[in-house]
Amino acid sequence: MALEHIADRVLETDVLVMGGGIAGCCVAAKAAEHGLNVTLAEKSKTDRAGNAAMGTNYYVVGAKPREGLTALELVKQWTATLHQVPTKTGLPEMGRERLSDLNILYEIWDKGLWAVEELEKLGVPMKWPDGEYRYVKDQLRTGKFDLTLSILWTNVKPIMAAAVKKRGVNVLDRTMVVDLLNSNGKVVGATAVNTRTGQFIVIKAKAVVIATGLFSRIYNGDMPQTWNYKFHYHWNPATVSGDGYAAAYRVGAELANMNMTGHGYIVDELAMGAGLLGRTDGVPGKILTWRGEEVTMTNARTSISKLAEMEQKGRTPLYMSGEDLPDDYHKRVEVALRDMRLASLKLAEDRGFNPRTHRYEISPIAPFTFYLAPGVNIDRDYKSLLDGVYTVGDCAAGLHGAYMAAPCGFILGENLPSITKNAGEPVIDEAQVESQKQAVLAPMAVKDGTEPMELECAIRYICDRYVTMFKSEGKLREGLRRLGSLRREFLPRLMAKNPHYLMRCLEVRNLMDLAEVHINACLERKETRGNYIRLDYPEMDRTWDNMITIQRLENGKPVVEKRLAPDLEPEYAKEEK
Amino acid sequence: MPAKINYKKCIGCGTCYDLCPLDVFAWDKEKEIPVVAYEYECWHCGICWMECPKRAIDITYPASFW
Amino acid sequence: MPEVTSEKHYEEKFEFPLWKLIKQRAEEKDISYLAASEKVLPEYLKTIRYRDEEFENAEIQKRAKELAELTERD
Repeated sequence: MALEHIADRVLETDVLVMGGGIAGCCVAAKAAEHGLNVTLAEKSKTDRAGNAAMGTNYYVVGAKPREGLTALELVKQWTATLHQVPTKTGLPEMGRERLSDLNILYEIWDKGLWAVEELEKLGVPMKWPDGEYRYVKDQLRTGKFDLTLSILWTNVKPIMAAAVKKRGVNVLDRTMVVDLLNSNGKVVGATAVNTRTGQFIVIKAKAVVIATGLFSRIYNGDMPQTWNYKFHYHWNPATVSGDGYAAAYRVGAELANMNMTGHGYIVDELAMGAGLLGRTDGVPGKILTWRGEEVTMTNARTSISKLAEMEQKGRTPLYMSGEDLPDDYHKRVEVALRDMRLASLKLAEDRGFNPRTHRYEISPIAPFTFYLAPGVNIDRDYKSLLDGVYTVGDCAAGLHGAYMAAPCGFILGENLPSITKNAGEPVIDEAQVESQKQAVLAPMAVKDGTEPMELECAIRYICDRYVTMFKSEGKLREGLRRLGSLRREFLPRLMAKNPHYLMRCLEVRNLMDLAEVHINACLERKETRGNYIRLDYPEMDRTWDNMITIQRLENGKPVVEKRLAPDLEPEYAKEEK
Repeated sequence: MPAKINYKKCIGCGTCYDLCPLDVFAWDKEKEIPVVAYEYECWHCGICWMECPKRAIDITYPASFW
Repeated sequence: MPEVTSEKHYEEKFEFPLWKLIKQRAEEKDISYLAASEKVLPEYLKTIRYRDEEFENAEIQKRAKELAELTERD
């Protein structure tokens, strides 16, 4: 009863899904299919939420046993791509480069074809208008197998949103889950706020599934900053502010590999999407110096140093060119742009940018939180360290892409009925709700305070200046010190003029937590490996082979440790013949 | 320049306000039209522009994107 | 060897052919750009040699050969 007096709205559900992107929609749809009462809370609008808000154009299918492509083979290729440490054979040896539980990856690849069927059941188009599947000739990645589907997903999110509602999921749009509630060592629900009305909401749940995707915004956007437009990120929508990571961390879950933000060369705005010129179907564009000399940039690690070297020698800018491509491939680029972001076609018109005669500039290195292994640490059942909390999609450690989000969402959704069956009724601690409410709504009461973007920019500046791609202890420590001052002085002064700004304040609170976690993870990992570079420890430290950094709060204090990433089970590791 | 609404074409269907991932629009209840309330938060995804049934939204990318 | 970077970058207006088709359809039917793109795309896809394995493999091999030669030189 007291709860109804504290909160504006109290809901009860079997499963609360935090985040309405692809992973969130898949897990919600599957759990609801099995008769569970599912509530999905999305900060924006589910129909256009997440990394695939405007669409995407490729999907890696997974294992295809009939064609001889095994899940084991894929795990090997995936670890090679993730860690990109060249060896004599071209691929790192198994057992040398684990940065996550390989069994999770194995199971996802193994269920790939099943996930494609499940997506089709939701009405998501996997085939082309001519009724056939189309595979990209993704030579660079796969070598010989047809592995990557070319898909026309400009409307994937509206389709998923409709499907999810049709299956009976209670979708709460413009609802930002802020903190998780726990009692007796178990997570029993969450507190949330409506970003338009400011309603404070309590959701009781037998299981909470975090599906909030990646996090950007602790660094500035990787395109040149555009005066006041602070939310432009080349690879991620600005909605992915790591809300799920932060909520999980604050309640005591583990985060893994938070030192690993991606770094790479950023291509012209118009090349947005899967890197070079959309997916170029096995015919990559040329990389040219400004004089028109062609150079190679195939391996990201060597490319980074190559770009830096060229910069030093005055041979930049570098450009990517599709000028020599047959007209047919230019049409493919147009189609890719249509599905990645229709507005790119308009941007090209405005700029007069014609890929048949113009080149895409490659900018110097910038960090982007994309692609690698950071996330909430999970076991093979997608369960975090804590009872009651599960994670799927990009925000789970070791997972990346729509093509992992969908399978793992469906896999967890299948298991949620048995998980929630014996969960018992969630018992909420009212005092906890009251204290979370105070913290959440505090910015609404602040007058003459600090605007959230001011504090956010200060956080980004710290990472841009003191972390960067080329890390070293002195700078990391300085960054941490400054972050500490910001937390002390400015977090309490955050001011929200209305519920929309409250959302921004709450995001900044999350970013503050994550920036701290990120820097501490970087301090811990004293070596250079793949794209992770410590200038003061330039060699690979073999004691870190297959190790992940683990971070959590213990009695309010941050704890960092390193732990061995689980190897493949013998049943998976043996070659199937 | 963020999303700009051409009110000569706008029919007040609310699609842009409904869908914007960054909640850049507000709704004017009196006039029953959307307004760009947080223009600097626009990330130029073009969702409002492409979904508008009357093509009433103009997006011109900021100078730095050129 | 390709020329030095084009100076023509901002001087001419250009429309992607697909975009031109989408705009036309949108104005004709008075629908959103998104809806127009959905109508235009299936026909446009037919003009692309997606299902021509021979063509694709030839292009891939040509480019792979070029890259191999370049990698050797580099």
